[in-house]
Amino acid sequence: MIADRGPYSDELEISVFGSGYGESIAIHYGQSRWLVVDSCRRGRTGQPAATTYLQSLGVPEDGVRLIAATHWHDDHIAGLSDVVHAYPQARFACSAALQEQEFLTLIAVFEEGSRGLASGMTSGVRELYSILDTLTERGDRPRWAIENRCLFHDTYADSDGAPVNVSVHSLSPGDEAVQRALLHVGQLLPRDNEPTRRVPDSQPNHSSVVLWVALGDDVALLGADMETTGEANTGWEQVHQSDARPLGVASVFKVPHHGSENGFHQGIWDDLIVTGPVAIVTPHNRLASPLPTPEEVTRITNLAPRSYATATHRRRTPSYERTVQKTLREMGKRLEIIHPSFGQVRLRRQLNAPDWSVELGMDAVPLADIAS
Amino acid sequence: MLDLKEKSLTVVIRGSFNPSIFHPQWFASMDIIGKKEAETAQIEVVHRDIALFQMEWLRLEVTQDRFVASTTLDNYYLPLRDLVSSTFYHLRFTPLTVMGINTQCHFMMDNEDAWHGFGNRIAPKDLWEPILSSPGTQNLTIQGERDDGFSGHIQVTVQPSNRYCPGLFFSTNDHFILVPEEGKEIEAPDTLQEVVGDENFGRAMARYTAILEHLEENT
Amino acid sequence: MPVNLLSAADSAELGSLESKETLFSERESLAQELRHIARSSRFHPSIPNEQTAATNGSSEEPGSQTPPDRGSVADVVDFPKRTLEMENSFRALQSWVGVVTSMTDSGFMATVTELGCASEEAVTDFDFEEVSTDDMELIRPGAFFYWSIGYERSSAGVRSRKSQLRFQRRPVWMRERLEAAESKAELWKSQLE
Repeated sequence: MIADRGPYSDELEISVFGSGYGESIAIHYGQSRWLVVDSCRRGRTGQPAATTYLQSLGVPEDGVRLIAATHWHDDHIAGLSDVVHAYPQARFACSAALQEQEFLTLIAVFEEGSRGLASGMTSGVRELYSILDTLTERGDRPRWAIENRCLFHDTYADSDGAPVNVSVHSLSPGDEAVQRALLHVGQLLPRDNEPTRRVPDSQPNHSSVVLWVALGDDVALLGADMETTGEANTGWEQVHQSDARPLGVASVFKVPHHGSENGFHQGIWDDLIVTGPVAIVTPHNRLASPLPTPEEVTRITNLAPRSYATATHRRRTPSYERTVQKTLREMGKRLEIIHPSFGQVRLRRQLNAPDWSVELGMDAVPLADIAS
Repeated sequence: MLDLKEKSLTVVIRGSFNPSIFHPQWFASMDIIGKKEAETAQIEVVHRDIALFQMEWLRLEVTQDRFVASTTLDNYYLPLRDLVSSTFYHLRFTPLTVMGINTQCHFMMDNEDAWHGFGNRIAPKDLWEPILSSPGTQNLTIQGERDDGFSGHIQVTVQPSNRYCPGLFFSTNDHFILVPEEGKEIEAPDTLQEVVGDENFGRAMARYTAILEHLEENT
Repeated sequence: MPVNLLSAADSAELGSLESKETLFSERESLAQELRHIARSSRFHPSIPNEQTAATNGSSEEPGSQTPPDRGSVADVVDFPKRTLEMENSFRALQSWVGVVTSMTDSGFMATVTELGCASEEAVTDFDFEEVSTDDMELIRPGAFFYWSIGYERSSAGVRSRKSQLRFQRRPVWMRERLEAAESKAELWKSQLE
């Protein structure tokens, strides 16, 4: 990780971590105060990326003020319960859909159903289970993210004594998206005597939380896994058409849904983002065709020449022993090892500076180089 | 040089069982094995005192105080683990006391000199020659403590192979005590699931491999 | 085969329960006899030897190879002598754990991880034809499976290269677990409101 120095007191920082499957964002809004959005691990069993980074900078336990989970899919929540444990004074925010009985039951059911069983891999609901238990033990409650709700705000004085206002607004989910999510969850709930399974990721993710993070005069739009649904009251359409969202345009855009075509909405780029923003993509390498596709890379870099990816798409052919290779060839089977990739895109800007400086750590690359 | 000739994995659990329920159809009804597997299983006996059946990859024997599941196919070690885990997930109220994850291997050695040499190394003959004529090692068991937080022990047994000559038979016994110790809240079923869980089972398999490699290096 | 005489199914042919008990009453307990028979048949070389276990006070003694005690059932009936070569075996050259990521027309895509090498993931595809009949119903996104390539030796001693795929089987949801989860959810809801 890029850990040469922590940000100055009056220096903003947005660090996006990505592993080719997973993302996490750490934001310094001034005076050693941090926000954390989502969580991923470096490698399967590594520490959460945000915790590792913040601890390397010596951020104390009370340094993190808000931890937000944009949704409950594995790639956005791995290790988040560890982050919540590490920063006990931070408020926790997540989708309002999760406060409903159906979602709570889903979390409990899949955790109960898999408890103690040989599982192979665990699902994101385990993290939520642990987080909810921790919060209730503390007597704390999440801040439920719903369309156009202020989840957090803070103010401090800069070196000139002028106030710096910081706020985090959720732009989604809307009411209809919550209802859709609950309907979907109802279908996921297992029945008596049904074989147990891992909870599948739902598409589209109706409960996803888009965050509008205002840092003084600047704004970062964090797109989570939001997608375009083609329907007025859900997805990016709901966000774009909302007449109650905060005013302004974002200079930093965390491109949604790993830069997929489904995550693209022209109206968002036109109306909520400055021309030529800094765009950050967290790739998804575990698919047959990794995201973003070459076509989407072209589209994003055309809209944002300063586009970066937290990981690369490198793959290689494995070197198994001769008999195994021969068998695979005879079967006509192609195996490609996903090159483990983990990177950090770090943006910093002093309060009065005109623009963001960009640093790339580990495997992070300019988006145009993602496949090279 | 050791030439591995055969190996197997056996899970043994002591407790209080009703063998008559351990019919392949029960396992299929609980989705622990497939329906066709159950239909084609070779049932020796299913009785209130003993159940004994075999499938392509599994041999299961259950008596009133012992559950034994074993396989000779090393690509079925994890499915065997799953079967044990699932079985005692459903039978979580069955009283259990101890559990063993055991492995057995037969190796062929290059020649008799090497075979004698290894036997002499693990149990020097010069100690016995004054009092016995042509002493030879028949069985050696070494026990070590667990260092993983579980109660129990680890044993390694070495014998001359009765299948291969000159050959060696190695077995490992990863022994776990499942009954809760005084003051501990973990119940036997949860401990069993922890024992066969990914982390511990993986460790057991790695330990078995390391033991064999160590013995092989010293032959 | 002598075991047939002792199996529950065959026992039924003997008629009444009293007849069966008469048949067996002259022997040691049925359980001990059957265990002894199983060992005597050398049906499987790795059954833990209870004799050894009793001596050493441990119930999970590693499987010993002590030959069967002659002079009991084994003398009465001629069990087929089995050697290892009659057992089927599989020697894995490479093994993976996989998870189904998506379905295709003819099969599914999956991410596979080498056993013992958790950091390396690979992407590949599988045809439905590679999946056993029993496992077909288990194929869905998120399902786990085990995959091995290696040598299989049949009971007749024939050796062949083989690719084997088996889906992980997990137990069915039990009502009590579902109810426990619902109770937990209700508790959370009351505490989080």
